[in-house]
Amino acid sequence: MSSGTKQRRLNRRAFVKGAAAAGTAAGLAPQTVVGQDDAAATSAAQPSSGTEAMEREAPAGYSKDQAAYYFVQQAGSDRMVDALRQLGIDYVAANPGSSFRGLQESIINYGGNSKPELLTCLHEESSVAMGHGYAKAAGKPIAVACHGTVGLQHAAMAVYNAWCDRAPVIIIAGNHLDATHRTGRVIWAHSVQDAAVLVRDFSKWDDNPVSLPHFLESLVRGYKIATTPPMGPVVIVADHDVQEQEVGPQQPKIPALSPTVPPRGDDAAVREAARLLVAAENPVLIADRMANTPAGMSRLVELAEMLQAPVVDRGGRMNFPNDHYLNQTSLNRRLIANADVILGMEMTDFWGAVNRLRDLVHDQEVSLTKPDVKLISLGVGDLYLKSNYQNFSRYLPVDLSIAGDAETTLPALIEDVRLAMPNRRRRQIAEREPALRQAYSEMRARSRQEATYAWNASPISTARLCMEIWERIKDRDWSLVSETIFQSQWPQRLWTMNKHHRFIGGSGGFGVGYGAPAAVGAALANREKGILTVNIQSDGDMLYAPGVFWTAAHHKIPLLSVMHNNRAYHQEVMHIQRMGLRRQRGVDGPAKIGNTFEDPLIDFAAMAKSMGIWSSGPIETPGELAPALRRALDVVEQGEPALVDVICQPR
Amino acid sequence: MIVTASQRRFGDTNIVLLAGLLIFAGMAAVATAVRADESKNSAREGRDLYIEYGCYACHGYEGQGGLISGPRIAPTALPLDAFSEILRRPYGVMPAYSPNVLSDEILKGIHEYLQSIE
Repeated sequence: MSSGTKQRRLNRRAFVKGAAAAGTAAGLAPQTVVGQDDAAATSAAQPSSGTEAMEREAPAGYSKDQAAYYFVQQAGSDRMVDALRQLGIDYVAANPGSSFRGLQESIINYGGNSKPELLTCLHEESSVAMGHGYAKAAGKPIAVACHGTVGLQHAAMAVYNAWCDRAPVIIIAGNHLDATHRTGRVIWAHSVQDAAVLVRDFSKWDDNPVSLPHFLESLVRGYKIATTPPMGPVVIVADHDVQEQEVGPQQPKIPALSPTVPPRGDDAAVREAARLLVAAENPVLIADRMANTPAGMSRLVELAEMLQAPVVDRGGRMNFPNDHYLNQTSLNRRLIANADVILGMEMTDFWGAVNRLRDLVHDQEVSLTKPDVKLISLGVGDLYLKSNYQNFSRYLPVDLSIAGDAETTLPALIEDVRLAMPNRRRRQIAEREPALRQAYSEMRARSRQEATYAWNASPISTARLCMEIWERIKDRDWSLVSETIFQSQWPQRLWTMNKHHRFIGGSGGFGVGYGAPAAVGAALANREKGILTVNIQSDGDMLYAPGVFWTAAHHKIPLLSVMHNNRAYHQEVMHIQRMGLRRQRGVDGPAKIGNTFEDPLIDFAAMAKSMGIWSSGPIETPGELAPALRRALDVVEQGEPALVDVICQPR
Repeated sequence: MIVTASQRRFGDTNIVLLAGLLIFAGMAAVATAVRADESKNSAREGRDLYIEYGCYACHGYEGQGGLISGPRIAPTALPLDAFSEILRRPYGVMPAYSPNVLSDEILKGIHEYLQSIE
């Protein structure tokens, strides 16, 4: 359920909006004229808000000139809402700003605050990151509205994360382009010639429409571009004049969306990849940001089973079930060292997967593979790169580089593997299975054993934290929406993750502050599907914009947040320590300076409570975890967010 | 019964021996308890040193390790000289602890702490 939803009145306005949502062109058709030749007679005009405006009389006591002076019958931003609705955008996340006041009012009053519904956010970084998490969980984007200047500035890091992670977000940035319409110095300070330049290096596309028809077309085009792999955030400026000026009787068309079919790898190249994989004695499949849908997972399972090839899941998305014996992610070093053919799919850092650069006084580059290994790259990374931000990682020479969406290409690759595999070879490959199953069992047993160390420790071990959560959620339909690398990936190593929605990957750009808002956004998407959303919340991440938990409370977004509170930006503690050791100084304590939240300690449970969220903690001993988590889950299952603060080991 | 002088001397000697044994046993018990206390104190001090010198940051407070930070180092069967060599001249990406930042005495204390972890 959503807050502020009102039953829309079934009236003429609602009828008009419904026609727009069905994607029909809402332009006026010629009127039927009585008395003319039937052959020349034309169809009746489709009702529209334009005709309604013409037919509406001036309010009582006002002449038509006075009404035109004081009132707007049909605002441009009303039509923008029509377009958002036509695109199926259910939410607009926004921290309010005068530069898009027209759009905000249209969402609330013209649109009835329903599809799209306005999400009240307390920071634009939260708005965009909510969109980022929502898109990955829902499989479609939401829109964000913000000031084109100070709002976009706030949002910039979240835009970067979404761009690095190839997640679609539709950002509508308000602006006052016409200098003669800027009423006061605040408006002047919030006006810009080229709003999107701030984020152009890390957004997929942007436009600065100068008219309402232009805006409508750009919005549809932007949606198309954002949702075509490689996906990414887009920025469309909604100028103040375009929002607020009278549209007039001629309603501009909203173009129909023409979704792009993702590109598939070249047929000959895919056949060659199949040949190499079938001939390999030790093939390894590595998947990173590959499975955008459940189909991606099932296709990869099919390929891996045909080849009896172990899979390393790098975790950019939920790529491969971890209860399948071919998921041997924890053995990745050994597998890569022994591989003769490696297929990397949608890799964010293929070089780093097969090499290592040791962080030493004199950096050491170490190859992790055999010298004659064959490397195959499959993905859209080569189709879309920008120069300035270096998230494309190091250049890796490969033997076969296939440009195409991996998930889309897999059916062809599977078919070519089938064709390239005679029965005799199929039998030989099948003989690998027992050893692979044995390796998998031993891998899982080792993980279970490792988890037992420091089991009863205080601060609480990350293994204990994760297993206590698992115990409470394992019989439910759940989704883990937070990164797990700082918790030593215990969920991937010990939980059962065998459905696509069990995990949505991480931030993409490693910008800290992604976690909390992305979790709230993902939880919003999962709410509609009845999926329990679980967020292991880092303390440092939460401190950037904790107001997003108020948004979760206000919009009744159920979310279980369990904190991994190590009272530090711990990665930086280790970095400073490394520097001190290299320089032979300051090791006994100073590494914490600038990196820890001590003296005083922060009460995260109280912070969450102040935002309207049920909270508990800090929990300092493992025995207290189970009852606290049970109580928190009770709250979440009633449709509310809850947070448990847990004092944990660093990693 | 008549107790002869020699029997009396033997009895006196037995008493002395018994008393001595009791005293010795008592002292040994005290010594054991002191050693156990010292050992606990030593381990506690070793833990404080382990934390103070940052070992916990990569290896956890109990030496249990972390996937991307550092391997598990407790319980350890490494003798002191091997442990020292790893700290002074580590392999992999671990930074070296030179004697300028970590004395042999402190290193020994840290080693004792890790050995105390079960």
